[in-house]
Amino acid sequence: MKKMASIFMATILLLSVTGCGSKDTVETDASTSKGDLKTVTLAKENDIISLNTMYATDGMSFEVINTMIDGLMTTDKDDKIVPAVAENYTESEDGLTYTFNIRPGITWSNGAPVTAHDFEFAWKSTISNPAAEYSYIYTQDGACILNADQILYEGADVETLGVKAIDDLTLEVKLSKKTPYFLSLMGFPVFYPINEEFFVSQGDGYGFTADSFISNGPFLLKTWEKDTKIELVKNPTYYDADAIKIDELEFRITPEVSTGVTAFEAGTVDYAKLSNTLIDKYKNTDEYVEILDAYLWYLQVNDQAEVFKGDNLQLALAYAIDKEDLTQNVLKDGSVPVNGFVPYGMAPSPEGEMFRDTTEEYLVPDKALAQEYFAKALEEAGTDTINITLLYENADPAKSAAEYLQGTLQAALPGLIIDMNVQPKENRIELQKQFDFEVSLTRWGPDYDDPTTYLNLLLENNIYNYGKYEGPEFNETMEMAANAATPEERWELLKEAEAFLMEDAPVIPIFQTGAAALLNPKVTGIRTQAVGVPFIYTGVEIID
Amino acid sequence: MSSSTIKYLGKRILISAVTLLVIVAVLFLMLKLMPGTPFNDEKLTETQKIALYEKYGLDQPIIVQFVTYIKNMMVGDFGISFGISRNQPVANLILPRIPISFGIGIAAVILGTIIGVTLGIYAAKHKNTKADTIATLFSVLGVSVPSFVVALLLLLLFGVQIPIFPVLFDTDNLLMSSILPVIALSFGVIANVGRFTRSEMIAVLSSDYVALAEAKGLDNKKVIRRHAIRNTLISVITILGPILVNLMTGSMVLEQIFSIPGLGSLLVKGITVNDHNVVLAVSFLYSLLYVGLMLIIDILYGIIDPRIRLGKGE
Repeated sequence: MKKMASIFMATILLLSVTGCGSKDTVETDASTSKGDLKTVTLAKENDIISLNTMYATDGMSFEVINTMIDGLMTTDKDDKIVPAVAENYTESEDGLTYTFNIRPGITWSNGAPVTAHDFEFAWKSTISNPAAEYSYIYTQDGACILNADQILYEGADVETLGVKAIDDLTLEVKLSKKTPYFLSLMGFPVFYPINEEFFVSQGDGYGFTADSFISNGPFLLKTWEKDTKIELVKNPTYYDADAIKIDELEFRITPEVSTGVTAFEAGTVDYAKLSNTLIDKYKNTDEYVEILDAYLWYLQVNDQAEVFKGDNLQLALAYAIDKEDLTQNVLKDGSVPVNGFVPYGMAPSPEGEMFRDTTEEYLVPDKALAQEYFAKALEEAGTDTINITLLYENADPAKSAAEYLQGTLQAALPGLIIDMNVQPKENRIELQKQFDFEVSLTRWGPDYDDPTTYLNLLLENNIYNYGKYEGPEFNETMEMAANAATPEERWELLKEAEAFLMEDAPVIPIFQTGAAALLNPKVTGIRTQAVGVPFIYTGVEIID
Repeated sequence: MSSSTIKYLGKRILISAVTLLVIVAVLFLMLKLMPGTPFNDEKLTETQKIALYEKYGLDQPIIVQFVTYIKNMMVGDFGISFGISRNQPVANLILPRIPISFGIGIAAVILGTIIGVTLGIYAAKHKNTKADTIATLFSVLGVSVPSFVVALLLLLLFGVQIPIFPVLFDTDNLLMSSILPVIALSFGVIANVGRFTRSEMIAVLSSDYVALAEAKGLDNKKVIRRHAIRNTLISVITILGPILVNLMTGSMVLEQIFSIPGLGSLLVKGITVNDHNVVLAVSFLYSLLYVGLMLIIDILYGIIDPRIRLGKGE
């Protein structure tokens, strides 16, 4: 024992000699650990990829940036779009010009005022930066900012971009076409302001550390230790500081999910994601929460492939998949079945109802119907077996789902033989782009909060229409929706368009991804969004 | 220093440098041949991809890219990260991790060696007794039970059940945070060093000079302390080098479990997101460590035993 103790001491000594050592405290309860300060601590799998809004493309960067920088608009606790840095705005009659009046007196954390120029600078810098992967959102695939397509794809002069600071407090944005969801995009980090003077003063190092970054939002960056932790403190000069109920927000980076859960058990963190193997253990506890993403996994049918010339085979596949069984018993990761091409929890209607809740259910599993369609498909082909090749990527959830689909479809439709073609994700995408597949298990994430972020994919000229689907009625209805006189009329037409689409089943929606997590019941007010910034912390509170 | 020594040193250093260059070349080529690029978002358009490749010089022929890389590397520029921390210099990601990975690795080797040697000597002294069997059993367990299992057990026991140590690695609390990882990591070392010490010690104890010492009438304790342990330790030291490098490079799973921002976890992440520059730089650092250590061992051998450097009929 004496020996053991001396070895122990030697190790301690060594560690302190090598320049480590300091506070020897052990945190016991995450939300009360720091004396009188109200701190909420969250375990997150990934670190921020970039604090620079030009480069941020991932959820983690979005959620941290969003706690520190306010854009023109934001969402309130009822998910309604409300002004943030903009005090108010006007929309021209043709819907092509938005004029934002910036809230006077808002400052960056270095004291500089937040002005309309900060937006003009950020937007123009983003679209002219080849490394800004998310800049396509400025084009007609997103916000439809005037001339964005020409600048990004044809090399037009960046000064022609439809954004202009009229004066310090007035920002004018011109669009290339009427864009009903434009305002919702103003809450996306890629449209957030950047202070030019500070940005330039940091050279290439903007946003690399806490010192090379400034904020105008609810929290300030105190420390950022790569892959360890991010500490944020309440911004005392925030214009809506009274609404912020906690003093500190801390992210602990825990790449291993089980470690995050262990830290939750130990009281070190207030939030930790669960892996599918742990869900059953915690499902019935008070701490268990489910969060819905808006990634939709679906089967993309190649209409050019010989086997899919008619519609019967794809309808047979669509009706034969037991989505409930797949999500509940195989994936078990918080995913839910979807019976339509626009996922749940996104795209609010003019009345504020989510799209999926306003439509019918399509392609609801029905084994008898599936067999009927399959019999027709066999008859058409004049054979008693049909071979198809399923393309998918070698990572979960695609891998588990594809393996399940092979088994379940072959069992439900005797005579169907599914060959598997598993590829790395990039190859899977490449094969789809070259139309070199029969049916592919693929996914899509929304770019903006509107049904068209999904429905547009199936338009004849869309580059993501990997199956070369041609639906005259669908195209026509989408065209009518784009030119609809009122938002209500547009909504009805979009619903109709989806119905046409689902009749032909060129895409077979299967499931929407979700996550399960543990959340300290004392911590309330974390809002989740299926589109854009995934977690919003402005309303977080600790209740006793 | 004699001219032959200088010649010997020069030759060894040159061979090491060439080895490193070959390693970097192979790594570079392999990374380029790997499927996937750092830019594999399905929403990137061709125009955007071309612009990205151009910006990062990835549109150049591989040989040009390689020469540019080596040139930059010579002045300490390992390029920028594409995926893990967009546009951030790779050196910024690696430098803060070196003391953490190395600190934990070295501490684990020291702890493991002290316990391992003690156990080994004890087992050898009490060969074929119950104590020996227990020590051997412990060694077998240490070798066969993966360190992450030990890590998880320690974490649950001393992080959750008896919360003495923090579950998550915290740089504000470096000392306490490092103890469980060091213990978990040292298990393998204890086992390896323990087994090696035991067999070496048994060999030494049955050697002629020990028999002579005993015949001279020296008491058992003195024989072991003065002769046996010393001779055993010299051979133990030779296996410590490789063990140390193994620990520094092979602790990625442990880093994941304890959320330690070390080099191993950076490498794993780099591989998963195709962040070529990061993978290349970390792998290079590991190679440098290996080659550097080999060089030192070679030189030391040369100094200790001049016959080695004069080998091959020179």
